Amino acid sequence: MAGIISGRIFSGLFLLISAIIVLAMIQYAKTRGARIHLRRLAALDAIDEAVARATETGRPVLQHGGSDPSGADTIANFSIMNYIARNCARRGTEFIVAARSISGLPVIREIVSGAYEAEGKLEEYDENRIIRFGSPEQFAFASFFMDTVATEKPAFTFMAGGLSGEALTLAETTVLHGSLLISGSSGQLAVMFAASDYFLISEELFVAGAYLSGDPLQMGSLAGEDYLKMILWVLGVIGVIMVIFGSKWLLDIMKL
Amino acid sequence: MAAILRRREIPIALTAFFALYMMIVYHFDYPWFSENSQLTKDIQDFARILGIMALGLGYIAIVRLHGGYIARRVKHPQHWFWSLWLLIVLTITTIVGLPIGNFGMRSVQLQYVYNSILMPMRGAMYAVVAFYIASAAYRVFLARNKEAAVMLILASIMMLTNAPVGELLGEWVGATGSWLLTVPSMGGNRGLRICGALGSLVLAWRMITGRETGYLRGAVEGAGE
Amino acid sequence: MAESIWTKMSKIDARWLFLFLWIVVLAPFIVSISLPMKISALTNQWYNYLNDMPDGSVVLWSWDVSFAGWSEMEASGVAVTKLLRKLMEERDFRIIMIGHRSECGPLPEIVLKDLGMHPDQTAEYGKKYCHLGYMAGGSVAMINFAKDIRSVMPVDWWGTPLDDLPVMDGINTIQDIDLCIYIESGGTAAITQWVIPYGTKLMLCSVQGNVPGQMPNLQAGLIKGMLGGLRGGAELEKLTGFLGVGNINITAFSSAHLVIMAFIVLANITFFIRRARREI
Repeated sequence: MAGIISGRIFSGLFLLISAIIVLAMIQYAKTRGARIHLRRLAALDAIDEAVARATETGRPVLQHGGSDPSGADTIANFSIMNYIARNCARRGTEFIVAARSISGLPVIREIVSGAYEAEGKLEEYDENRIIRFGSPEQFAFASFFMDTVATEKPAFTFMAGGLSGEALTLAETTVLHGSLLISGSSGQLAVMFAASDYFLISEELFVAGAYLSGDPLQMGSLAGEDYLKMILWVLGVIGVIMVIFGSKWLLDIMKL
Repeated sequence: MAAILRRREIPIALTAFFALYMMIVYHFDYPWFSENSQLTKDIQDFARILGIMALGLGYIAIVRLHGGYIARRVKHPQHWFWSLWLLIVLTITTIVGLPIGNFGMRSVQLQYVYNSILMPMRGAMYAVVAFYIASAAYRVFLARNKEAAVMLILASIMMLTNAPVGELLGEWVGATGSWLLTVPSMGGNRGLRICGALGSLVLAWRMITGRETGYLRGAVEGAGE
Repeated sequence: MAESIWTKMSKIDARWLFLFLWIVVLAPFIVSISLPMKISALTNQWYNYLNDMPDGSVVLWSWDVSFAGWSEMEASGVAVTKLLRKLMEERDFRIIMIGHRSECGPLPEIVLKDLGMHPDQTAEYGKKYCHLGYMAGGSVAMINFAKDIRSVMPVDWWGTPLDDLPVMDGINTIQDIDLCIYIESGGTAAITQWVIPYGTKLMLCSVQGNVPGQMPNLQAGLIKGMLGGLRGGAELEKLTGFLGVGNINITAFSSAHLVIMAFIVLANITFFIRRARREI
């Protein structure tokens, strides 16, 4: 077809199909009022308990502000930050965000102040005390975060959003100072899984916003995602069988 | 006017427009609608400029924050002396990096800052990771149950594969480690990456349709109370 | 009731572990020990792919390693530069160096200076190799670089216009590059920005932690070779004969691994004894 770049037709088709399925499931949830049930995610369920623990012990909650705000991990982290900030505002627990990204800083300010405002506690929002900007540089931020943990001794720490080489350093520091650590990542899986008390593996981080909000329409999109996974699974099985029998037809279709 | 600009529909609409445009233009090759078209180049330049402007914003944010700490002589969360030191170092690095006189990107002074100060400090911080690996290994790698025991054994084999000393134990170490890396680990990684990619794609669709608003002010909190 | 020795050991202050590790890692630098090191199939594959490139190939030597990651990647970075220099001298390769983060303007410059390839040291600079310096803009800049190199990098690191460098004759887009060797310490966008759209051949030098994540790309043919971390760099040094920091550090690397394994064994012994004594 004129105008469509060869080699990208299949990906375009998949994009279109994914949009149709996800939007259809959102619409289904909207019109039928269907409640889509998700399996429990221990890491997300533990957040309420962790904030309660922080409230009882009188220690703060610390959240990593994420690095690159255009990354999917960081956007997912923002949704969780909204949830935790509202939780802390409601309970009167001290909340600290260690911000790393410059371009994410205004977003973090809006999210946290909006959370306090939504809980009717805007007068308790003190930007200088809550949002602490470290450094955009990886290990400069790591030393800032380690110092914050050692000084504030949080009861609960949440980390997600563009974690890389400094991830283990941050995680171990929080654990060594007696903090419960919940983290999520799509990159540093092995390291963070080993070091954290609860961990959101890859995709679980991206569904956090929908899961925590409980919004039926967002849950509908997760159902659409599961259908997409089924499609990919079927394609994978068909592809394996075809290759076993010597046919590369499906591979050729995918290269269109 | 301020009230109009603060409406949440504006960032959602901007997100939707730019995301859809970049997703769709990737697939087409018309002169007026392709990756090489003027609009696409302008959008990419816009993104680059925003990223570089963020550096300037960050500079201002740091000066404001730490200037405030110094003015108020705070002792918590950090002593104001360290804020003063930060601003001194920031000023020196800025001056030696400006293209004035003998200073500039290629100047001996800036190279000294990079090569003799930044490089060893960052290397030292990276080296600290090794110590935390040791303490994490001591704390985490316990054979509490069957799965943990399997993880422990396989992690040990991988460590022996990476270190030359493992070869003293025999050929089987390298062979097993390579098999672990190229078969089960790769399969697991592949599955995780496919699911992660799907998750981020669906997250993108939620953002484009305005369903995912966690990154906006005053997002609705849901169940769990 | 007083705590048993096993309970105390399970709660040992991490600083004792740090101290022990530090001593054991330092020891090989004081008492020189050499351990046998087999060259892995991955390193052999990496080396053979580069060696099998035809004479006169144009290689883009991309740097995306931080100062922190340089501690691990120095062996690879220096060994690959020496190897490329050899190929340049013996087989007419052309080498274009570029940096993807701010440290990767000065870092390659340090390596060039150490190898006597800095423009202040030799008149050969620009004829068969050049260093374009830091390309600001991340993956957006990579997209533009692929379409028109001079649109993002009109001059090299020392301010010389690319049109004045003989090495850049006829090199205008990513499709004029025969092979990209990419050294990274935090992931790469080269696969999505160069390999998939333009079919650029890519070889990686990655930190060890990124190797499992890149294996699917290697198996799918998106990357042609992978050199992993300090071990990969040390193996390449041995393979090419350009011994350097990799081979010096590899014994300390081994001893660190042994110590960590010893900690794991100790922790598990403590755990099982405490469980048998019903202390947990």
